[in-house]
Amino acid sequence: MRATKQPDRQSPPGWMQQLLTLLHPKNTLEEVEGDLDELYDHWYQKSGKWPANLKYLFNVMSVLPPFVRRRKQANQFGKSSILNIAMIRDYIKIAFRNLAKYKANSAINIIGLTFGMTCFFLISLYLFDELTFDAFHENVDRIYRITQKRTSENGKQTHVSSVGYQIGKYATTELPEVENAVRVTALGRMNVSDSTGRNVFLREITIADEHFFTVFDYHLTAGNRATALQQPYTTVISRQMALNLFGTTDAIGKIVDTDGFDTPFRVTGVCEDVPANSSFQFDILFSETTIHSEKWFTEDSGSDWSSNNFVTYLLLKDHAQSQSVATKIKNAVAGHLPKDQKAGIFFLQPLRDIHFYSEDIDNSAERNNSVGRMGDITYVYVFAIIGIFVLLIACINYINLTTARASRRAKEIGVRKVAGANRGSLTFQFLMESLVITFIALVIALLAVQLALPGFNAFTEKALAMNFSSDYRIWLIVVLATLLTGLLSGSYPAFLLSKFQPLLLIKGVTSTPGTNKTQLRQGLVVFQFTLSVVMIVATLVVYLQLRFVRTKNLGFNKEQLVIVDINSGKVRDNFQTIKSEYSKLAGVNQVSVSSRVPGEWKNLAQVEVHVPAAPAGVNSNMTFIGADEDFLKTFDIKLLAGRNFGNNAPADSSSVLINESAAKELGIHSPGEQWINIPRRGGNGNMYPLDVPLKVQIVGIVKDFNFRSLRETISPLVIGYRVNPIQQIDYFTIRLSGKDSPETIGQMKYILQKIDPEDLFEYHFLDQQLALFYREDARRQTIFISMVLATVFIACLGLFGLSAFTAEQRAKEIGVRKVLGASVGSIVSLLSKDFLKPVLIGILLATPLAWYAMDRWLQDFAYKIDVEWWMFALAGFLAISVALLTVCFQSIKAALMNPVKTLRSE
Amino acid sequence: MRRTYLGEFEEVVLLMVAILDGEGYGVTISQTLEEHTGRSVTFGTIHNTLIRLEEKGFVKSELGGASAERGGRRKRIFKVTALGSRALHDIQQLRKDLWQMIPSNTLKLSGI
Repeated sequence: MRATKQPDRQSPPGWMQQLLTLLHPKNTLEEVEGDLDELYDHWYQKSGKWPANLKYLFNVMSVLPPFVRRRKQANQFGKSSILNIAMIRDYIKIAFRNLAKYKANSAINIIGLTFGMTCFFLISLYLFDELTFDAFHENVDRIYRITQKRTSENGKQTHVSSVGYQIGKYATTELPEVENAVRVTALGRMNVSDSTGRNVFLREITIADEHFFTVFDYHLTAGNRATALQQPYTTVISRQMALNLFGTTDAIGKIVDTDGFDTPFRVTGVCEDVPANSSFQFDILFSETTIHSEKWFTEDSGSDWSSNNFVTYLLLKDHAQSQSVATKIKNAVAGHLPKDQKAGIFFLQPLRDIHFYSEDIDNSAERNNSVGRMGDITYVYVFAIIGIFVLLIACINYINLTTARASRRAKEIGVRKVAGANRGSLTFQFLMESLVITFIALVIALLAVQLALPGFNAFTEKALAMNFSSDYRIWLIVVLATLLTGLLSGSYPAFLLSKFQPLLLIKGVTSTPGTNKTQLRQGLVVFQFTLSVVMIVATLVVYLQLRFVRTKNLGFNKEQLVIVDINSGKVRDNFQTIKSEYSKLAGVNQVSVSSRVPGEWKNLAQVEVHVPAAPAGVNSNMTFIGADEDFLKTFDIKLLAGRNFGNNAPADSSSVLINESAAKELGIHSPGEQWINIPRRGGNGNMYPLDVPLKVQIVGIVKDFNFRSLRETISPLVIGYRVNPIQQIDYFTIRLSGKDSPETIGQMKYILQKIDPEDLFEYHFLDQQLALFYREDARRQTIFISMVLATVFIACLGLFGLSAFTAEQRAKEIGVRKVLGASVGSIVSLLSKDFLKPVLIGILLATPLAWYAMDRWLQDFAYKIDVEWWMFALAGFLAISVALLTVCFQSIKAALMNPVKTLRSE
Repeated sequence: MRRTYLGEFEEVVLLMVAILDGEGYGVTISQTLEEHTGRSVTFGTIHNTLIRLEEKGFVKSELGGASAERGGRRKRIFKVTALGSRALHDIQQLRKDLWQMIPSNTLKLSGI
């Protein structure tokens, strides 16, 4: 009936209603509004719109201050507030008594929460550090790195983080938005030493201009920020470097010698070691003015607009538009290029973004300054989610255990209610209880974090700390997480327990809304195990993929290979002598020299290859390595067709080998001494013509082998002879026979230093070098595994508590069953069955989730394993067995109990 | 014992609450009042009187009975308390006693 009346219901003018809402006392607003609405409708029907409006207004006025009488609040009738100090003290006292009374239960709750919180804090610290990368620079929001995207003639796009020298200069002088600019470039590695030449270190050398310390906030402990890098042949070194070189941090004015410059450098500044969360790393900086007198600079780089030699950071003025600055730079570059050359697209990348969003950017001009330090925003999300889940699972434990044990507290609640406690105060009491427990867990968790941090730092290679000098935001997270955990775990039990009817409680009928409660509990267990299984599967897949990567047949044999760097001209000139002496050593099987070695991430040379059959100008981009005739044998690379290089240098300098991919791209099926042209070479996305275009003959095709990370597919490769105009030899590769390698290496060092006594003899094992590609993955794998262990542990802890409780509650039932002849086995299965169901559902739910997530992760690899059904089966099996073990412990205990004991106690 | 004073309008409103017997809230009370006594008063007067009666303990109230007609808002429904019912009886008794005391012809005379 009402429903039919509703459409012609009249409502009063809005502004009058608003007046009422605004001014009428809040505690009676609802009923008064309703009453007046009804009256208005009544008046409207009786006498029409305007009289009704007028009457409404008049009546509204009558219930506005000062005419209206205020209804007193319930607590103004002399009731005590729930926030009364005495009551709070009482709640805390009761909380501690309960803790002491049910020790096992409290221990499970506290251990679970402690575990969850410890994991959460560690992950928070890790993520906080990742997210505040570079944020220590005061002007971080105004600093940008110029990057350049260009497309080569054959459509290949490159994105580089370095630009021509002139751009930085142009930006500061011509663009009003730019406050300052700093140019940085890597010179490669050099030996640096103190003036006596005693402490020699091979270091990546970085050139920086004099604005470096004005724009960036690396802390200088000695020296003048503004002038430190002004003069030629001056240097700023890190504290650690100063200690290494001079044994003291008081290094100002001291002399640094290098093997790359004839003039020694004078130290004009010492800076604190670069913070671990800086994306730009250095330990020695040379002034840019040093290179101003170099020939390559004066003739080429210094006046250049289009190359990629200088990483340039701009400090913009407040509110400057980075987009428009980028456009202006592009226009300026276009104006300085010859007509036929096209300028690339320029971007200003915010300093904050460098850590996470530089994946596709080639930053070889910075090289070691940032190698291996790139973050991955996906993992930030993944870890954040894991951290929250671990904490959530711990909260669920608390909820489950507390609601399960509600009957224990029933009498207490009943008496409290009879004595006048209302719902609010009971709710508050239970929240206080959960907060007390959370707080105890917090104290233990903070201690645990302190204990875990040294190990955690060692393997994340970070310098995380949680102490009084930590960022206030870290403590904010701690406080918020604790409060939230306490409230979240306390809220449902508090809500449920305070709802009980006192009469029923005292009578002992506790399972009023029982079925719903167990359903919820089971739902929460399902949730816990879904998460656990997803994480187990994830760990399995990550582990298997990384093992696959480690053991995959790379196309060459990476075991027992030692790489020795060729660092000086002396060594390079005498490589034949060294090679033959090396091969005479007892522990050595093969020796080879090459320009690059597989697993090398330093700039691999790129060449353009032109086959006579193709139209002019259509070239293929390929990677180039120079090698000698022993290269294939040493690396165990298979020659598919044709022949290897011979041993006669002049003849073979025009021969090349190509890999399968290159053969496919060039359309060559068998090596038949075809002539190909290599007109241009390059790196960093720049290609420039060779002085004399190289004409070479294809003499052999080799099987594809991986010379980069397995994240990338094998690209076409040209192996040229060691004597070539593209890249000179840089490495010895020695295959050891396996025994006594330290001694062999000692002999190799001796041989090398006989030729060049100043050489440092740098060497590494190739397999270890390759493992570095997957270092981040390995690290994440460890984090994954520990988190999975924590999750499963906490979930099982909850299951343990629940099963203990059930066994205890059903003690009498079990007693009766035993008296009637039930076997231990049947009782165990009776008790365990209930717990198996949610675990099984959890596994079912987890399967698609885990499959989707892991499939996404594997997309990242060019060579990958498949996600297979047995992984889920194994994860499910693991989850079930762990759950069963946990539950069985309690069930068996209950089943073995003497029925006399349980039945007597009535 | 000092009796709580019950004003004339308060008494009428209390009677209305009693008449409505559990159905009494702002709207019904004001409509019944108008219907039976012909007195048209503002809503505020009734609102204030009800609050005063509750403070004196003659009525108790609770929120309930939301309906679509009033935009889903709840009503405050009033009921007479034991004390309120006592007070009404007392007044009625007092009036009755006083009527008894009136000489039988007094009102007849003035009625002429």
